[in-house]
Amino acid sequence: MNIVNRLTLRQLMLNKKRTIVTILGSIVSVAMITAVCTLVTSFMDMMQRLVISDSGEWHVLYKNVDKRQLDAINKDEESKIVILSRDRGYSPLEGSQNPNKPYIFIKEYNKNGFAKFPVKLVEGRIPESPDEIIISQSIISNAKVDLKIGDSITLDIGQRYHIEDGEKLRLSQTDSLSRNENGIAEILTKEFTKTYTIVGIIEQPSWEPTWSPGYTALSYVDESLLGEDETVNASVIVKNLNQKLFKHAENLAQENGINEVSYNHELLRYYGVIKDDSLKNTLFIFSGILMVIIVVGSISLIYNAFAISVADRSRYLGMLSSVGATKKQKRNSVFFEGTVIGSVSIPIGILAGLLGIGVTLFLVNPLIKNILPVTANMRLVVHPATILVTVLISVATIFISSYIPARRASNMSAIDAIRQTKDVKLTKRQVKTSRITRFIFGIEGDLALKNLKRNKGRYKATLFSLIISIVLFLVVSQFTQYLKKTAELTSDGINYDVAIYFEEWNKEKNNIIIDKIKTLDNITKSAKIDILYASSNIDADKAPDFIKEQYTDSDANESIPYQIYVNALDDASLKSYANEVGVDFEKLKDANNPSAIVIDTVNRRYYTSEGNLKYEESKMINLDIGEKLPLSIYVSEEEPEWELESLKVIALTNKVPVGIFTFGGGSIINVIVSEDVFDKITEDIKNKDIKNPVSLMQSSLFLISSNPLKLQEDIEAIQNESDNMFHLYNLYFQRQREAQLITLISVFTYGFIALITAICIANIINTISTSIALRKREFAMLRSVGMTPQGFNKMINFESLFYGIKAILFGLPISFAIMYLMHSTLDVSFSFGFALPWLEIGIAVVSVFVIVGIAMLYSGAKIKKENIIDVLKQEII
Amino acid sequence: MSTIEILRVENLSKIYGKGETAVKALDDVSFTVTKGEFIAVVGPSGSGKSTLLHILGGVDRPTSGRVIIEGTDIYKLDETKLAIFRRRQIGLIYQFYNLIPVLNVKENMTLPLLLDGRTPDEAELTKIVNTLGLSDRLDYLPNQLSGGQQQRVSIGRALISNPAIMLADEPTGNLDSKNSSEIIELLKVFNKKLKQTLIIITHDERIALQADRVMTMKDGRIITDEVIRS
Amino acid sequence: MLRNKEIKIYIAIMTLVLITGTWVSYHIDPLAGLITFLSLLCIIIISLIFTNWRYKKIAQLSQYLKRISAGDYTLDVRDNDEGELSILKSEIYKVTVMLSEQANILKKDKLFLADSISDISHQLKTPITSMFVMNDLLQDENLPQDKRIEFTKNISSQLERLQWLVSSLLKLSKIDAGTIEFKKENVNVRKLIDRAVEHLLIPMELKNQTLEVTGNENDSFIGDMNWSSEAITNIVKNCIEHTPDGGKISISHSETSIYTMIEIWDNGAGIHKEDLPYIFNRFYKGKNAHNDSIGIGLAMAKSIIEKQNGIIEVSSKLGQGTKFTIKFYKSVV
Repeated sequence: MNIVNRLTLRQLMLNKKRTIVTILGSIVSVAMITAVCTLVTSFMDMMQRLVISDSGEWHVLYKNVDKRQLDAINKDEESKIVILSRDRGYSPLEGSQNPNKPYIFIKEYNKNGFAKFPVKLVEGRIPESPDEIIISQSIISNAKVDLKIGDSITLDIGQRYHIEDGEKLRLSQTDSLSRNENGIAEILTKEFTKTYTIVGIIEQPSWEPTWSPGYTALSYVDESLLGEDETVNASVIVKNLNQKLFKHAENLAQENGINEVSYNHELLRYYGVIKDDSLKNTLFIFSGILMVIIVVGSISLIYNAFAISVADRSRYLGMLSSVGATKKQKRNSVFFEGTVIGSVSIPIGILAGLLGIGVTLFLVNPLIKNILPVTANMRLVVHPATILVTVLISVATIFISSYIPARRASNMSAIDAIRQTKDVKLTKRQVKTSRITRFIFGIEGDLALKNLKRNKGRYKATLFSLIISIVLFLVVSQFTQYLKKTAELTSDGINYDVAIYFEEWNKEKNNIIIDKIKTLDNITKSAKIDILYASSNIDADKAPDFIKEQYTDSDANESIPYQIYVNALDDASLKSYANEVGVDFEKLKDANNPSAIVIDTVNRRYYTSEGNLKYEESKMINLDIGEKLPLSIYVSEEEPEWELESLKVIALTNKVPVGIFTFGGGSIINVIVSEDVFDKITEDIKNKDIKNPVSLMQSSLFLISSNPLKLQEDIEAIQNESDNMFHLYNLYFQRQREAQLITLISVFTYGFIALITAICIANIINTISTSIALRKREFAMLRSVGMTPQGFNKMINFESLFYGIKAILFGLPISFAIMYLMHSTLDVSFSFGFALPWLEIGIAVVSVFVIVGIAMLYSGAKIKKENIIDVLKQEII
Repeated sequence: MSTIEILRVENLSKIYGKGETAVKALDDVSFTVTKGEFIAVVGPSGSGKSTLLHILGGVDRPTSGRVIIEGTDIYKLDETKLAIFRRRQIGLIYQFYNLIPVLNVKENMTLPLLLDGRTPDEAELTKIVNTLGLSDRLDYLPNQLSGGQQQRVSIGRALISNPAIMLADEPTGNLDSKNSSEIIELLKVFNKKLKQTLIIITHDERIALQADRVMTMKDGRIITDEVIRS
Repeated sequence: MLRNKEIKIYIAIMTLVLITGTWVSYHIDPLAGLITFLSLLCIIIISLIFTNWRYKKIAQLSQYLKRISAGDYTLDVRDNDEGELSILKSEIYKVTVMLSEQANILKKDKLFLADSISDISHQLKTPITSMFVMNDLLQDENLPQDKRIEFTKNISSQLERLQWLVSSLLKLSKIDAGTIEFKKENVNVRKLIDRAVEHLLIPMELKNQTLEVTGNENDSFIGDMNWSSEAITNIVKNCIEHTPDGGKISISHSETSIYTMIEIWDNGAGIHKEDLPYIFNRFYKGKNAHNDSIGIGLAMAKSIIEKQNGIIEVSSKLGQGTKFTIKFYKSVV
């Protein structure tokens, strides 16, 4: 080891405290970088597994391919595994006790299919020939059909069609049993008959919608079994997961005349393969911003350590220079310091980061499990690439942090070190303070300001670090808010597990069912909602531009027809909702003066003129509180529309109660009223004999449940006993996935905020205390000429004040600029109003003063304890 | 006494500051030094002695003029070459020793060689160390030494690379009289025995009188320059 | 470059590696073989270019050394770069400077020798001339007896002086030539002084001068007792000569970690400032030198002291006295 490096190493050893602080700082940064990288990969991994367990592992789906095309797919170099599947169709399930599920739905897989699609055997084995079949457990438990392994069943297999006005419409598993007032409104054809032997029983597959009319049964298909004119669906797991796969698949389809290609976007998304370009860009920019934030934070923390270390060593760097050390040797000494610190902190940081994420996941996993008992847990996934990226980013961070100090070190000349007068080269003007300062703050304040002005370099370094802290804190808070908001925007807005829609408008009959259902177990929250589908002509100038545009060609330029969904919440639900919105519940109950809460702000999802999918938070209508919202209904074609009693707007909100689904398409608005008000305004309608009341009014019940599957079964039991028709939708899986996503994002974003806040605080304290420590002599001098401890404190306080003011003066505008920049980046895919996070700004402003003050007082107090003469005598080495 | 010219100073000027506040620290100074000379530079404070020494030592830059050491115009060298030149041809001794606190005596002494990536010659080092009376202090850190000892280390450091010229800026300014005379004695030993050219700045008349040649400076000019022994 | 043995070996080994590497990788894949061959070839060529460059630099240096050995010292090879070659150049330059200095000294010595011979001739010529004259006078038979006795005395004193001169010169030349072995024994300073002044006590008494010796009795240094005492005798003798009757001669001695010091001073006439730098020069006669002084005692003292790793210095003030300072250094630089 050469002498300069040895020297650097000794210096590090000698200043153990600072070295440890520096190393800790670097460790935190490295750990954070590791954490973010690992979190991303772990999250992706979890989502991959989640999606795979839900919808199977496949990437590209070629639909209806024949043998020749299949051959081409098999031979394609990008195909790793080819899964064959075929929907054979429906067969009546004889003896099904569930009127909503009268069929068996037969699907065929090849061997790969059984391996790669989520098929969970309860007993028996996977089919190995086309004569064998495995059936869903729910056939036995739900349909109460007595089938067991070894039984053979003969099925008449065909397709479902909905017949309406003579038109045949083919139905699939996502369409529930089609009914109308005459009962079942669909037919089942018979295409062929086949006898199967049952070889196994499986769990109800997760891809089977709860409302689908057919129980799943799986049989076997094989390439060799295919006839010349038979087609299958081929799902492919590709070898290389990258952006090229779309192009490749399309080419392959085109070359071989395959008509339909689709992708498992949901899965591919979590491999980072996204076709939607604007969303991808947004993601890239977002993660880029995140990394930049972390790196900037880390650099400001580590940079300070290096800068202070160089300042400390300035004298001996000068000495080295005078005995003939070249610029390069001096500069390299700082880089060597960086290397030493990096080689210690990078491995530890990576381990700490992994450990931290490991522990976090360990703690968070039960939380996830609570929300969703069936889901896979999040496990720690470490790719070599992650580690490599972390190391590269960390090395870059440390290098950048040490670059400026290294340059400063290389410029440290012998003469500066000998004279040590660099700090004292002052002109009067530089330290001139206004008389007002002296007048307002006294000599201590004047001195404080002079102190700051005198030592520009150190002052700037401290200020810089303060500003960075403020900017980091604010930007990160804003960033996490955006993250949550975008997650909310992209979600579907479903806020219930089970929905029940009644087919008939008969309040009394419906209420019996509702009461019955409400007594069931596993209901955590229920909301009964009656909806009146009304309309209203609204002045055009009250409509937002995007709605106006839709009606530009109509002559009714002065008013725009809005559909008004009047939702009556049951009292209990309304009460809590009113509380949430901040409206007096009693006012809503007052039927003589009917008032409503208007949900005027919704998350809109639409395609821009460039064809990009865009998410936006939009106001659907501009109403004022207290305004009357006129209502009317179309009863029939022959009659003119009926005017109903108008509603007074008492609140405008973006909050959505359980059970109400807001859309951004078209001019549709949801308003919330009490049942009393609802009854009042619909009084007239009840008395009339209306042909199709369901198209005007509908009752529904929304449930949040702790065990939605069980609840569904129970409700289905009630459904079977009752003659009152209602539809049951279990949206539990869909909802939970979204809820989980948002919860996870919250947990991690708040964690991130906490971490950044910690770093900012550490940074400020570190900077201030070193800057005070470096001024020991000066303070001792002030005390030696008779500054009292009170005066000293006062001076320190003023300094903190000046620091804080300056930091905020610079920090806030910079933060705003960055926030705005971030906002405009997001604007490509997401639109919502740009708002400043006032709460966080408040916190930042107050904390800056508090932390700076505490840090200064603390370090000042330490200095006060020291003997004046000892300090004065000390040579600054 | 030899006649080889070690140092030539030509029209050296140094001006600090600009305009009205400009201070002429050196005003057209010229002289030559031959090998083995022991020169004392005296003068009141602010007369430009230290500036002169720093410029001779290649650590400060003159406003105009040339410094030629063993035929090399040192301010024509770029910064890196000048640093290397310093490490091989110039030995500097300061009033405040300027030792590196984290290096031991041996490392501090051999620093110019170590910076050159060389291994010091043990025999030669032992000789110097013995002369300096530091043989039992080689592993000590500077803060474990007395001021006199520290200054002896810095003499060793200035000497180790066998430089063309040794420059000392008030080497005894921080020492008591006993240590002062010791330091001067040592400098003289090296001057006499090794024919080491030596320029020393001092306030102390008695030290100045031990030199071969005394220059007196005032207001940035050399006002007297006399040989008192040869 | 190729005549160097190590280069031949180097090339041979490289070629062997090239062939083996190419052969092995060729068997893995012919293309890999080609790549290996080309990259290895590149490495060999590059390294040979650099080696060649280095040898050229070495050749340059040897050219330079040749010029130095021819006596041309003006060339400066230093380039003030990092690295071994640059250090080598710098060191060579330092040796060059030293050599050129020695050459200078040698030249000066020659001149000095010529001067010395003329000085010595002059010193010898004076007594010999006077002796010739007296010898002529003695040959006169009519010379009265008392005059004869006087002349004879005069001649013998001149002879004595000649003898002393010759023996002194002989010693001096021996010291200069380095043919005298100086002993390296522990010399007690007090004993040394006692011995040195032993023969001088009588002349001092005659001149009514006092002698004072101060210092720690244990002070000592490593040197040769006999020669050192001769040196001190010469110095004290000089003091006695330049100090009037009733004057005082003081000797003090001390020992520090660096040196052992003996200071000798008188309160005599002092030495002129112009003389001061030259009084140790051989045959130098100052302004208030005695007539019969030949300026060799101090020169010899200086030589003896310097041969024993010491230095001697003088300071003086006219009318107040002269002070000689002798320092014997403890270690050899």
